[in-house]
Amino acid sequence: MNEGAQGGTPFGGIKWSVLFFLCLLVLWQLVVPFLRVPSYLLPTPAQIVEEFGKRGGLLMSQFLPTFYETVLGFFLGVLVGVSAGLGIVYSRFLWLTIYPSLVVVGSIPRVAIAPLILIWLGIDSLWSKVTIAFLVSFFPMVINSIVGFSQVETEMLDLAKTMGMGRWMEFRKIRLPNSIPYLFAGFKASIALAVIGAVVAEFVAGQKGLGYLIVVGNNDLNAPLIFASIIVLSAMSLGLFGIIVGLEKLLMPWRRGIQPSEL
Amino acid sequence: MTSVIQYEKVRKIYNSGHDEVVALQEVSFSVGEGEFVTVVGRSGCGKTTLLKLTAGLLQPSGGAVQVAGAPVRGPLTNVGIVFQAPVLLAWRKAIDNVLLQVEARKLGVENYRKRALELLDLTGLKGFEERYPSELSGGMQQRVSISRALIHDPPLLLMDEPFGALDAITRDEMNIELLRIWNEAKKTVLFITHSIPEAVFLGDRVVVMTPRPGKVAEIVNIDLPRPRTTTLRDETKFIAYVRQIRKSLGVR
Repeated sequence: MNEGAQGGTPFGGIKWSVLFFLCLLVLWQLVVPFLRVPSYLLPTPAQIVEEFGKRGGLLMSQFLPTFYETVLGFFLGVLVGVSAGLGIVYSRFLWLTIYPSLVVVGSIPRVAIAPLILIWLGIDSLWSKVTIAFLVSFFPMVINSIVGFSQVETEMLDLAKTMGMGRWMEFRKIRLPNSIPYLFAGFKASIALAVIGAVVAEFVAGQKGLGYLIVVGNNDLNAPLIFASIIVLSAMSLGLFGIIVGLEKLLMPWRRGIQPSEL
Repeated sequence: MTSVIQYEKVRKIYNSGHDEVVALQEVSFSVGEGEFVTVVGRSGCGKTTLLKLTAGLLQPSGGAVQVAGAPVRGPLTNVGIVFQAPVLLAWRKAIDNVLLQVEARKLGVENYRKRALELLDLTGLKGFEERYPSELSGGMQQRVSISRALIHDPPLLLMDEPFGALDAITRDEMNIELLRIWNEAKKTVLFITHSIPEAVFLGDRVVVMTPRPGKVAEIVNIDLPRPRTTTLRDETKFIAYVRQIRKSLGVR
């Protein structure tokens, strides 16, 4: 591998991207007053930082409900997605019945049914928003579970038979570990969708959460508050994504292996 | 010599929609105990079908396959199988891939760890026991696969083009190593290949198969001394066998 072309260490790349990002911020800070853009349209980075100082407590208190809705919706999606995936892989009946209906549900733009869910489960309830986050996020989990549990080489399954493996052992030793990379791909897609689901639910419900705060900021023409909320949301999303990536590296040491081409 | 495998007028027909494909027709021969029999033929002559029928992974449409005197009704467990692809589990290190065989049979991993290390040594993987498959070359992965097929000490080894994906040099080396292992372990081997020189080099007998429908064209006794070394490939007798088989396969 050419060390020079990669910037020496992996941190070489991060250093440059941080520098670039800081330059953009400085440019933003300078250009907005220069062009006399009013702050209700586009605040400067300094104004957003000021907003954090002024309303840090509010942002924190509205962050927590959004966080709970996202995480609970995500876990519910994983639970339902993996169970459905298992059922569909192991039962021809479920494959024929549930799978097609799931595909139909999967093709509904699920944010469109958010208002209905709120009516059914209650606008005040945490669970109505969790349900929306779940509905928006669970579909990739179903598909990835199905692929992960079923995409095993036929020859491996043949070998397992000649080794005298039963179905349960075949699942534990072959199908389950085989599914891990697929499941993690599903987790990554789902967590991002769960955030979207939670925010949309809060837009509609208008009770609390960062999504609600964005609606408030919009009504008050308070763009710094909107930006601050978006930043907190993105940080949350990034943090959750980071946890998943960290777990993935921890659970799949074989993926970090040196490739033969590098030997 | 008692026969370990016996094929009696074996037929296999695949139904794909409205089409019927006759994969094997009237295949009859037997493999004796401790014998190394190679099966050679073009792609699509039913070689792999024959192997899967032997392992009980498929059932014949007609005729009978007997292994160790009993008709094959379901997957055999007293065999070791090596496919063309190494078929290793990516999340298991080399040694743990070998030990999968032991875990599946609930034989006690600790009782077999020493044997697994010996086999990896025997197949030339000393020092690579703790590597993941992604860290091994194709040839090395196939050695792991061979070790896995041997660890439970099966009397019968079924090999389906095990070296087909390797480069010619590695392949010749693996042939020598396989003969060494076979000589040491004294197993019955059914070895499938599409390489005529490989079939002649390894086999006590070569079963020549022709496609559409797959049937036995000829069975050639290979009267060459053992142990066999690479220089054998240059000898007139070896070349004559290769020519004879090429002719019966209809290669122009």
